[in-house]
Amino acid sequence: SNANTVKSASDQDDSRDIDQRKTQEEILFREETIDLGGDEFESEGNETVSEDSNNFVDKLNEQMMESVIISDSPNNSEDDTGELGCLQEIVEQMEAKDNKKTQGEVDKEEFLSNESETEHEETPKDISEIGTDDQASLKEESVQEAVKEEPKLGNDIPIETKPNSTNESKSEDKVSSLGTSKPSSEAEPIPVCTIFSQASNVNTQQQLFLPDGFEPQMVKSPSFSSIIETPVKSNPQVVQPSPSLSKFFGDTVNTNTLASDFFDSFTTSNFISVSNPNASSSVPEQMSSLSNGGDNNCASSSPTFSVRNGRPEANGHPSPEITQSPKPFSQIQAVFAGSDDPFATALNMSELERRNDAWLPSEETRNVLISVATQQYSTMFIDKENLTMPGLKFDNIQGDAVKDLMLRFLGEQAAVKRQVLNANSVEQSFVGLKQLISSKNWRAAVDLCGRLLTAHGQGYKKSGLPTNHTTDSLQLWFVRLALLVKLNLFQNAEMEFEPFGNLDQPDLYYEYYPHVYPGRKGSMVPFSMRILHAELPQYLGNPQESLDRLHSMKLICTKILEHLEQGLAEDGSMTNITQENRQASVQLWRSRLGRVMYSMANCLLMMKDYVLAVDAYHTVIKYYPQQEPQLLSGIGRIFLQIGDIKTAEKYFQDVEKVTHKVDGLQSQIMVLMNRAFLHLGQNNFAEAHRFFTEVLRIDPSNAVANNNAAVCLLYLGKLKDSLRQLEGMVQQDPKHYLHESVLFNLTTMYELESSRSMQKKQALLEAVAIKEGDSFNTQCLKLG
Amino acid sequence: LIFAVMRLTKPTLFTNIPVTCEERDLPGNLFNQLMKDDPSTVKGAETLMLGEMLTLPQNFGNIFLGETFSSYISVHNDSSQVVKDILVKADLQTSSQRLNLSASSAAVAELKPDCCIDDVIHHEVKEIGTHILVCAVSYTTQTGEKMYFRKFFKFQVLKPLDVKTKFYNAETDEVFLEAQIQNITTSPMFMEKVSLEPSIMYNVAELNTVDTAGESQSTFGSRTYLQPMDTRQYLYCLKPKQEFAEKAGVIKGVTVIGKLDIVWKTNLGERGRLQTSQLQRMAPGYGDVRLSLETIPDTVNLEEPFDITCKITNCSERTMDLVLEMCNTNSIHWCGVSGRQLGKLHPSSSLHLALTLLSSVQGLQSVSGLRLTDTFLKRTYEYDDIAQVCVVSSEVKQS
Repeated sequence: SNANTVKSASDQDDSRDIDQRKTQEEILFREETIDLGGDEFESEGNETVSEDSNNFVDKLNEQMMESVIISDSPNNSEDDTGELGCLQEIVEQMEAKDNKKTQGEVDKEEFLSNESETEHEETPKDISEIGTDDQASLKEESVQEAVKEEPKLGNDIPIETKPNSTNESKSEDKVSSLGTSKPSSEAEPIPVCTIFSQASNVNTQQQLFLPDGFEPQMVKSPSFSSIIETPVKSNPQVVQPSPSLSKFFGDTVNTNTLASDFFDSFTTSNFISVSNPNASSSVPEQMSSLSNGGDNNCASSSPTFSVRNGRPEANGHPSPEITQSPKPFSQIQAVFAGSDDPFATALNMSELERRNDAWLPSEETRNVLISVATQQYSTMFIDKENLTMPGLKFDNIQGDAVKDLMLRFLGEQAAVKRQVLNANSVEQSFVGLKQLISSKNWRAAVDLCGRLLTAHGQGYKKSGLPTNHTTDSLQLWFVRLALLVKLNLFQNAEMEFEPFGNLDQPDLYYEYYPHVYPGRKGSMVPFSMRILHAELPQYLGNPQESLDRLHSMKLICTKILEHLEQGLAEDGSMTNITQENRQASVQLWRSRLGRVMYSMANCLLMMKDYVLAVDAYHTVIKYYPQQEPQLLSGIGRIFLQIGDIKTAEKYFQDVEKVTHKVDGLQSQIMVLMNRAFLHLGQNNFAEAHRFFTEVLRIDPSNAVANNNAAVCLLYLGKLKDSLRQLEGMVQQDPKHYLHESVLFNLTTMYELESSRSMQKKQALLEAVAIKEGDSFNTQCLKLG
Repeated sequence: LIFAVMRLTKPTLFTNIPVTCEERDLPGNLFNQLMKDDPSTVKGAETLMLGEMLTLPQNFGNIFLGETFSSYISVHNDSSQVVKDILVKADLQTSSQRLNLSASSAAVAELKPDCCIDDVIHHEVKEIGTHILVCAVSYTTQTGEKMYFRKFFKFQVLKPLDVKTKFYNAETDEVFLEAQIQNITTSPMFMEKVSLEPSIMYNVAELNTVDTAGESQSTFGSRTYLQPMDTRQYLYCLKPKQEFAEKAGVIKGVTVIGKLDIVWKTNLGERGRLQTSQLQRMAPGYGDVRLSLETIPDTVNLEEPFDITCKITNCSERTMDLVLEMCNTNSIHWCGVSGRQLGKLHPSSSLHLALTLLSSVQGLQSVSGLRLTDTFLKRTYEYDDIAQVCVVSSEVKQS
């Protein structure tokens, strides 16, 4: 049926070729280009021009993602056309040219209508253009708002504002010359460490966040603002060491400094122990002023300034206390070194922790960590570049696109009914966070993460300022960044990931904080966060970078597995591990390595390097043998996508051989599904539909089969049936089926049906409003 | 009535973005659970990006020569009245012709409110350039009013492939065809078939597989597809059929070799097919008389005579009376009488000629110096560099 012959080179071309041949008779071989198909147009003389403009319009089309419906949508009023920009002009020029060519055939009436028609055609484009403009401007607005917010905050406390920056630069100077982090730093003779030591006092105060968040600005600025030259000596406690150590200093016993406050509050506490210099609350000021008493006098911001301002000065004039600090410090070391010490024993890290946190730092980082462990503080000056100083890059992405659309299309009354959880409506804790995530209010969850991080001193505009990390803070970052990726806000995720570098800076290892996490080893960065970090560039058009990152992860995983096989601990040390634990560890790291391979395969698929992707998926099967049937089916679909139906069929046959790995019903579904896809590849929509329907007979709630059967129906010319199927599915279980792909198909069909598609889409919006959280991607409704 | 048209390219598979976490991470199994609940993921292998959910085409996309243009045409009655005698007509206007694509030309008797007439049209695109789909509807309203309207949808057909060919003529009348096929679309292309359909004069052998251990393997390896802008080179060997080979001299001027038949597939089996025009080649010009070598030794001894066999074919339209002259060169010395009569040679016939010669110089020597003179026209044909032969000193050869 499809044996068509496309006569290629036109006669003109032929004759031209022959002419050439005659002139070149001597040459035995020659290269020639065969034009597949008539270049009739091009012989008309204005060839180059027309081709160029064609290309241009094609490019435009690509960019504009023109709606499939090439018709004019009935909804587009004439007004819309008026707004066509330069795009329209180009199109009209095109028109004119084309018309010239076809004039002979197309009578004048058609010609006219033709032109007006194409104007209509372009309207969808135009709208989308406007739509994106709107979005852009909206974004801008929000940014502006954010910016505005700050000055406002500043105005509340009129003194500050400006000095902020000056102080920042100062603190930077300090940091660059500064030794390690908080706990050990107090031992140093360098006064710089005061920042840390001071700040660390804060941890004793569990601060409740104000629901409005963003105190940090308010807090920070006063502390830096008024530059009053208060002699340091008036308050020697300024340089008080970190609380955990303070007990070892006989003279400065601080009542509220328990080492346990530093411990992983991950599972136990709802609040993060605030242990950072930039942390919220006015605690730092308080501490300095009241350090002698150690009690909490509710210092209003103004009195504290005077005291506080001594700090920068401290750099210049080391207080007597500082100079003597090294001595007690070595004593401390002795205390921790003895494993007999009940305190230290209690802190021995558990098997589980060691297994999970294990990571192999780079040579450079390892050296820093070793020097931290051996307290060679002379070498412990760490460049600022080697420190991780994250901070929120944008303070509020909270918003509910669904509600915005409702306001626009359904009116205020309807919009009021839309109730979703937001960051304010849940407990300001991990519990609340989980609640937001599982109710698919990811935007709100991102927001809440931001608040919790702000409380930790890593809030908005805190990037680039020294800070400390805890297990919790990194987990929060992971959740926030993961959610940003889930929301497709890749740029934002990249921005906030940036300060973390390659996740290998020394202050991201437990060894860096020997007093906060005594004896604990490994990386604070969750493995999943590394995966996320590695995967991110591929969504931003840089898959090569993703591959690089994944490869280095793969190397480390392999190395760790090697260590385990050699009878060593994960990090290559000679720790004794029981057989059982070793087994568990091997299992964990094998599955992690498998996860890395999975990401690689996905990345290669995205790069459209199908050969390598298929290889990578084969490797994944080795690590996850239980997923073999699914993965083989997936590979089959890859070949189907390329168009290599035969190889796809081969893989689908292989699937049928291994389906015993999944339970009966599931294997049946898989086999039927694959057959359906194969028929699809053979352009046999009727058969494909039959197999999808067969799946539905076994598993009536199968969303994929339902959706795919409906799609087949459309290709068979049964729009109404197709719509009925999809609508039925959505109504039957909206909680499950309000998926963007399904809704996208549904709205596309509504547009094709073209009667009152707007109302129908709005009905969908209402359904979405009831069931979905703020993370819903409203684009699939095509209401914009 | 309302009219909508949508191009039906193949649906695409939905890809999701996997975000996983481990049990000990803050969200616990929350992320994994979210992925499990997502209907677009593959159950049991949620991390697999490529899902199973089909999504309808999101834009018009590109259409290429040789592909099939499919489109959904839907005519919907948006009014509250029944309309009658609806006739839907879809034509495709190309630069050269107008094609009717409607499946049926019969009118639909009536269309109730909120009902629609559906049609899926297919057309194999055979021309490059602007195409205009013209859809026309005529109907009668309840009041008996005749209504008619039409709409135009314009699209561009692009060239999918760039084909370049090169011919190599072997001494043995074989012709080698090298065809470079470049994918100039924006998507990967699976080459299902690239074959050369020879003209009646030739047999063709495809040289695109390598036999290893009885299995023929493609020279393109496991990569069965062409990425955008990738080029693949196919090689074919054409041998003149016996009956034409006899009259090898007769094959001259422009000859038709055959045409390439290319079938490719893209996304989910979207198929395209093209044939090139007849590939033509200029047969190497042999002039009126063709002299070709039948046998010659590859290595000969210095200053020792050796034999060669020549074949002389009359490629002209007339009978020739030939005289052979042999001229010595610096190294080549002919043995025998120069200026001997070869007798009459009829058109398209040939004669074999055994000659003896020796070389006085070592090394690779070119056999030159044969002269044929047609006594009728007094025209002399010169044959130099007929073949090359390696001359070694006899000692070397013996050892």
